[in-house]
Amino acid sequence: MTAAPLPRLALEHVRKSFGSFLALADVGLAVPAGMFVSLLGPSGCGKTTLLRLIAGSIVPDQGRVLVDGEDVTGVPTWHRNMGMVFQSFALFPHMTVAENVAFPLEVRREPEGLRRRRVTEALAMVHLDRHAGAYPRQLSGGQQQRVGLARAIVYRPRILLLDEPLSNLDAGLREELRFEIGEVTRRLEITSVYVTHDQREALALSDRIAVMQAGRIVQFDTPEVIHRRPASAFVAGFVGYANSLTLEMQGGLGRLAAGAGALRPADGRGISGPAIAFIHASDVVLCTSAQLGENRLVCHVAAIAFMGDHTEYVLEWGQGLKMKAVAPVGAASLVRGDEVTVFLPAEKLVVVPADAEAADAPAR
Amino acid sequence: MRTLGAELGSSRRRWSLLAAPVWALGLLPLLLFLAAAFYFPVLYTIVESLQGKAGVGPTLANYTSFVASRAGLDTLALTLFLSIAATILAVGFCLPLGLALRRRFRGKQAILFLTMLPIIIPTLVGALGLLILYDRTGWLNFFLVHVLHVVHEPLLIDYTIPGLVLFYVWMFFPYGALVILSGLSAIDPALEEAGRVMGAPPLVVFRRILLPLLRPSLLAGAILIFVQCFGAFSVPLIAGGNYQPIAVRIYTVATVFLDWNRASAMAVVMGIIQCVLVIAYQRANRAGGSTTL
Amino acid sequence: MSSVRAGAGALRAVLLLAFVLFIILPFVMVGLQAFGSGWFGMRLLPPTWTLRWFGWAIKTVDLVQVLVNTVAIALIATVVSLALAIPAAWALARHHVPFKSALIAAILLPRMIPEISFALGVAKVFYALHLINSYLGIALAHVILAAPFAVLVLASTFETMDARLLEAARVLGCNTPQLFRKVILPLAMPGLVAAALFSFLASYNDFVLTLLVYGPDTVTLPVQTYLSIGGGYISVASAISVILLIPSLLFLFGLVRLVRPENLLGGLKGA
Repeated sequence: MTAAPLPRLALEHVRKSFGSFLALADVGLAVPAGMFVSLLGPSGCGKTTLLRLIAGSIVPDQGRVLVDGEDVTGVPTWHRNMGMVFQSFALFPHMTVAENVAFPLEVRREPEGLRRRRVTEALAMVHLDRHAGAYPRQLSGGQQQRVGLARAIVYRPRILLLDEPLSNLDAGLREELRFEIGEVTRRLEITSVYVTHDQREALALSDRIAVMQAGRIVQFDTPEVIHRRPASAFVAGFVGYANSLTLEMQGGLGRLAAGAGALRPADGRGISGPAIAFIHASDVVLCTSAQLGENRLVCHVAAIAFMGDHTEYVLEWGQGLKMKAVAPVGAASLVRGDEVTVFLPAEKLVVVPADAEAADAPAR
Repeated sequence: MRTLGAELGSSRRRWSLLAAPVWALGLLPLLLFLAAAFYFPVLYTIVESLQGKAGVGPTLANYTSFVASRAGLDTLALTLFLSIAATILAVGFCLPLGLALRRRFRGKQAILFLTMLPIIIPTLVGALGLLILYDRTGWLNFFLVHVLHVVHEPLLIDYTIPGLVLFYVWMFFPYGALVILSGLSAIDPALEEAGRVMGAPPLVVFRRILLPLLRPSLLAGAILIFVQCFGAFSVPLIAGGNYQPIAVRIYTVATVFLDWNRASAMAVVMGIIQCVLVIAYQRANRAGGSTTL
Repeated sequence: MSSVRAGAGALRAVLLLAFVLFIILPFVMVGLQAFGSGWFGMRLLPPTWTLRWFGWAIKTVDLVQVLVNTVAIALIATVVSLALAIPAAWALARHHVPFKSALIAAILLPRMIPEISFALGVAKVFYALHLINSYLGIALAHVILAAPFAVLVLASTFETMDARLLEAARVLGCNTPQLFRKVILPLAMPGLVAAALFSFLASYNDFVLTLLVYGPDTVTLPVQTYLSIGGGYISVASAISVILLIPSLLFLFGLVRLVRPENLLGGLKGA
């Protein structure tokens, strides 16, 4: 293997505070050219600050921002050659769709012919070629954001920044536009940084996800790893693990705190002491036989919700301890109050030490 | 138009004396009062303006003698010049002020407070302070001559036309500032950020994005300032010296020359011009998207 | 970049400082003139400080009586203004009124045209009605200016009052007096206070209309300020101005809290 090429974007020990609020604490990140990276985290975790810092709208207190190895920390926004898609669309209301898309080419003094060709191309790419003469207010939210996307890529920026571009859209449109964003960025092989608090968006679009918590990147990995092997309780909770069980780990075996049995997770060898096991609701297996043993729990059905294509069960397995499970409609004929044994497959259990839980508290 | 039609239609449905319209009882005292204390005097003024010297009338002589005479035209020209000059300067003053006030910073509330000061305090007090400050021996000249040594002779500002324009700016810029500030706050800051990220330096962002979006507010603010300058009375009364714009002229003609008929004609002309300006302001304001009652 | 930002910040600071000086220096001048003596001929500060001008004002122009006149007239104007404006604003805000926009325009017209353009007519009519040189007459003249603005403030207060709240109170068993005392009044209070303060201030500060309807017994502070300036007594005028200024400044502090600045637009007018 040869030496790794310079990353398109690199952040080194970036730190930023607003007054006494520490927004970013020593963030480092390297994004290779062409990669789609999501910054995922709850509001206030610093993800938008990080994005605006890459754009140059915010100057870090410490640390450097490098693009292709060149330090751009002191370079003003308008010389950074980046593209950005905004949560509020940020289309210029006094310009038509075509004028909006042409604006970045115009300030770059591109020749008229090239300008027109690029605008047509970009609008075709987002299927808006027929709306070139319309004003933003005449378009739907989804169409407006597609203009925003076209405007951000028309000048082939080195990096595309997307700040929660879907969060102002209706659920249906959101999926459609998410698909379109993936399509366009893949086709142009453009390096993208995507800010979101929605784990499904991040999982669907990204080559890599950086999960952020309280101004730090707590895990940076592929969507599969983030989803299957969250590094901490915080990440597990954030990527949608519905169930958490408190354990006392010893020699690979975890005793449930409530004394309801024991779990043997597949990767529990390295951990001892208080720990938390996570499992997705869809990975909880409802057993027909009442056979007991490791990774099996006896529960009572506390509530049932019919969700159309599946049924959701809330199961109680001890004093006030609940767990969620789902089953295809008709797969299990349970009613409220029934006793049921569940099986938690060892390879689906994710165990993290409980002290990582401390970081779960909303920190500053 | 459509709303008026709708109101007409629904009023026909609801308008019956037996139904004892509550709104009428509520509005009646105020409307009666305004009819007696405002509309009747206005009507009286119009009637007076149509009367000749020895009680002969109706005649347009008072209007023609105002509009056709040298003195009358001079008055109008002076009023317009003062108002236009002060409006241009005040808007040019409000725009950077509004931009500086966009960001949040400590003491911003205090600055907003100061912005409103000239229109809250009695106009005469402001005019008096301005006269003292810009006097031949006032602080401005003291600093220019004795501290900074930029001029040898004190500048003559009080009782000059440039001085009057300066006083107008001080007195009336807040009207524009309030409109422009609310116009600026209606512009999404992401628009400017978008412009910068796309490669537009601040000046281009200002010229291509901020200015076009702010144009309706600037227009509305300008008209509002102009309206105030056009109707200015207290400032030119004590600080105008020999220069008498229309409001002061009306007062002088009425109380010094005791020619109430001619003064009434001037007052009617002034009132009509002002009404036209106010309607223009409301048009501009509606275009700006802000809704003031 | 950071030096550009620092430069922009410094420029902004300088501009704002210039702005602050531009606005407040005239007031500083009035203060220096009112409390200093021997202050003429290119001096930074008066050589001696004195309360003499206030004494003069009390002795020569009967400042105490002028103050009493001004406050009494302003109080009468406030009461009348509220009495007229409250029912009108309630009707406009909470009832279906035909020709509403035309009515509002008719109510606001006195604030839209310059005072001087109708002050002559007011003077003539009030003269015929023997309302010149009386507290009531001057107060009524001020109500022409104060009531429209009180309507503006109150109507927007009443409009924002949620009808469902009143309904809920009814459902919960409030009778009409209770409804008024426990629900409507607390909700309307900020608007009522603002309308009262504005009416008071409009009257207290009014100069143009007062100038045409005042008499020897009803000189008000603004008129006296004008007379003193006209007589060349700048220091006495400044002393009176200091007194004249107090309510405006107090009210401004309070008003900024009560109403949004943009609400002031329709109502304030300096002639």
